[in-house]
Amino acid sequence: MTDPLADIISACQSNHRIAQQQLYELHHRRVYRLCVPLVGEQDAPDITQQTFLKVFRTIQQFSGSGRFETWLHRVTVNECLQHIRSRNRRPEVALEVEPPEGGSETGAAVESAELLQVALDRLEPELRTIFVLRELEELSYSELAELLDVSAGTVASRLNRARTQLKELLTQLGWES
Amino acid sequence: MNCQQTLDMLSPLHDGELSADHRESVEQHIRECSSCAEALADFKALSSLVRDQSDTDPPADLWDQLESVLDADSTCGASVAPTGTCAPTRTWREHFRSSSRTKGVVAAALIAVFGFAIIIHNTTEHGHDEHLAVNFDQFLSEFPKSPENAQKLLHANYPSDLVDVHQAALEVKYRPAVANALPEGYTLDTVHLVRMPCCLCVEALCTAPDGTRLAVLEHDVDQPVWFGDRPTEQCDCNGRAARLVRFDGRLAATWKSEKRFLTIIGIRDEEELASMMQHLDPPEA
Repeated sequence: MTDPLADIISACQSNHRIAQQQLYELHHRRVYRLCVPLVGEQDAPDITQQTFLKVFRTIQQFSGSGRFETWLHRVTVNECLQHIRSRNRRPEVALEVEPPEGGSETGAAVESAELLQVALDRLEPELRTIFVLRELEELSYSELAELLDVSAGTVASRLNRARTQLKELLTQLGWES
Repeated sequence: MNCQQTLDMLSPLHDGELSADHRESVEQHIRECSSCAEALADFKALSSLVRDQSDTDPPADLWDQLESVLDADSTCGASVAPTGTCAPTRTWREHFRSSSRTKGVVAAALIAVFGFAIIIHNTTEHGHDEHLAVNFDQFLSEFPKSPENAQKLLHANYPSDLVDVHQAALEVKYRPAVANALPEGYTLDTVHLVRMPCCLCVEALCTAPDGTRLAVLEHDVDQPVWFGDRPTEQCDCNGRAARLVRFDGRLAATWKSEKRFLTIIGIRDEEELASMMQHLDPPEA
């Protein structure tokens, strides 16, 4: 039996537009879902688009020896990190979120989603990436190690740092677990 | 098992990545230690928080925008090989924010910056050279360890914009060398326009098949000052003259293209240089 995804990828390698749309339909939600916590909801559509442009422009280099999803993760993460680095170089007015006053209604007024995004934005990009990949894509440590080109031990220590720092950032912002 | 050892294994425990033996020891400690138990509860709460927020849908017209860019690519004739006449790749949001007013402001700003830069250049050329030498020395020292950090250093000193080759071509008014096909297995990762003292420089990061990174810079004026006091060698590369500098087991090379200069940083050896020259800057037929 032939693998439908392999057929689609093969057609994409010949710049077949219908196949490109099929590949996009199969994976764009997953890519977008990764981009939102990594670059923010405002920039996620742009980066999703850039990711698929990169995929279609370089899909000839996908040999088929590994999983397509791993390759797609790598392209997505690279596009996100590139965007974060580029954005970090531009001077921007920092988004200030006032910590809620204890026990008042202010805490409830700030949505958890906003708090999470602000906290993620303040996390180092490498920590943000590994945390999001683990939580949303549920990649194993060996998959994360391969994708990020680090050891499994480094995966564990980065995830520990990511979670500890994220918890501290959220607490500073008034989040109560 | 103490608290520090437990905390070190908290993520692997939470993610189900601990062996049975380790899991038993860590869980035993957590049953007896409220502080570590609280840390584990925090990890679980974070997982719930991020997973609960991850159900937003992308914009419905994202494919339409993507397809229009793919159409532009097809019109240009190659996936990453634009011509000067092709429209630049525009991202989803750029379709909604481009305006002639913005272009006017940008043009005025560029004129002001360039005008000011010419005055400064004439009065402090020597100072620029010193700064350039220092900045590029840092760039070359950092590049073998972390090309991204090296790039960051460069961009911290000179204003830069992340672009694609289409946009680069429109800005510099020529077809950048990195728009040509790279040798097989090489990928073009990023393209930046960097406003160097000499000119608006096209700076690209590429990845070789073995995973090593290369930087390619295209500039209007020869810049021996970039390499400071490092010893240089002249090299005859398939009948074309190039200037070589060795650093940390890698090579940097500069050669004169038809109208500009190309500098490549991070190459392995002369053979790789010859291949890159052949692809980036093929000799006139």
